[in-house]
Amino acid sequence: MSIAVEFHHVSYRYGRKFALQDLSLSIPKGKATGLLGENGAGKSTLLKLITSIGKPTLGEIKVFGQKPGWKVNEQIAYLGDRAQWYKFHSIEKAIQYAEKIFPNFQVQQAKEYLDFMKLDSKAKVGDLSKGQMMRLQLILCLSRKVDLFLLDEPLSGIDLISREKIIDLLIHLLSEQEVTIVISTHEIMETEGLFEHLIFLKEGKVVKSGNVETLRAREGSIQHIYREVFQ
Amino acid sequence: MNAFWSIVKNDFRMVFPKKYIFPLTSMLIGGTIFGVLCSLLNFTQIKPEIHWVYTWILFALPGFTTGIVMAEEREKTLGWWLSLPYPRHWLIAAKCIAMLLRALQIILILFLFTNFILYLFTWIRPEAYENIAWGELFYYQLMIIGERLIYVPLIITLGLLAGLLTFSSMKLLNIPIWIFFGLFVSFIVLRHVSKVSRLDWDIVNIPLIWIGLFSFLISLLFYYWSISILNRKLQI
Repeated sequence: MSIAVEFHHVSYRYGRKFALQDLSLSIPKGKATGLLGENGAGKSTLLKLITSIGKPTLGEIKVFGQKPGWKVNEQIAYLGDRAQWYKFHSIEKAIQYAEKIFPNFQVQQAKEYLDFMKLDSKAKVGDLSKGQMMRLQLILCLSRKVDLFLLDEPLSGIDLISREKIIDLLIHLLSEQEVTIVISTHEIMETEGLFEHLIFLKEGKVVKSGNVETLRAREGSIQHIYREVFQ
Repeated sequence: MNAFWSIVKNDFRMVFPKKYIFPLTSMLIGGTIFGVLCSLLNFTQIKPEIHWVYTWILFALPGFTTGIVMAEEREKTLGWWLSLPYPRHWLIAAKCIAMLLRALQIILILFLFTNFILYLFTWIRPEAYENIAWGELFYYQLMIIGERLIYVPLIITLGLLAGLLTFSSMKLLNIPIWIFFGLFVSFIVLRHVSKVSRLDWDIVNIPLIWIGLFSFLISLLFYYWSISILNRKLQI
């Protein structure tokens, strides 16, 4: 199994509080990995370290064998937790801007996704609902031709229709291409079927990880494991 | 480079989103018309000091510049911005250039508007400016603008640094940064007062070339410090 991302004894501190503590893990290449954990478990911090938004206090991270940094970011599409887009853009302008600033941005793909997600390209970003905003961001993120997608809580706090559309889009993407995708979430009911690999994070540490099928065969349903780990 | 200029253009729009341009321009024009009417109708004996038309920008610029960093937080686009596949100095330089272009745009608008008003003054009420010809006032303004522009890079990089420090583990350093800003603009104003009133204060009588050099070196320091914060000290 080839590895996309490796963490070796990584710790990260916000002030005096450790968000990640001596964390070691591997994210397999070409698979959909679920990063599961409660709020404050360190999921967002972990994704930020991969994109070099933060630097680890201790330890080492390798992304496709390289240290995280702006050069490696060319191979990564990251959608942050509670992220939004520039409100003064229209959707059309957002796509044009994304084409200019993201290398290998696929405009045609983005337009197809727009139709799929039922978004009006003339609409102003500032007028979009939370769910529509997330749909747009997902389009901007998934239309990039990269090796690694990092999605931080893409289903958090949005309406049912948007959630269904987002999951449909992710299923479509995963069935069309062999991509490495990491999705942090605590919405396991809806996303369980997407993942091939799971990492359970608790208080900045990996408490369980492995192939979904192996985990299911050994310990029962993912929801059962989730309850067992976090209760 | 195409990506770089696209980021600059986007940052430029972030300094003043469209919705603020109309109220700000209205305030500016309304205020100026009010001032002109007061002067022309001789309501006040206070002679308007032309340099303030341009000096206020130095006080406002760090706020505007901090604003374009904070706007990434307000718009919730920090994640997008910081994960861009470009060197950190690009991101900083784009914001600096966007702010510089906005500052030049504001100065140009003020320059055109002020000269129109001054032309009217020298025609209708020449004694308001001691019968000085409009051409001389025009030249005086160019001197003022030139001098203020020397300070602009320092003030822009200071605003940017202050904005970035709020996202770092060194937030408290904002206090000395703003104290330095207060001292620096006080120095600029005192220098002007000393020159106009011929007070001959030694401390503020430093040649402009030295101030320019100081401003340039401190701008570089603030610029590289901002890059280092993005590279190593961010806590978001």
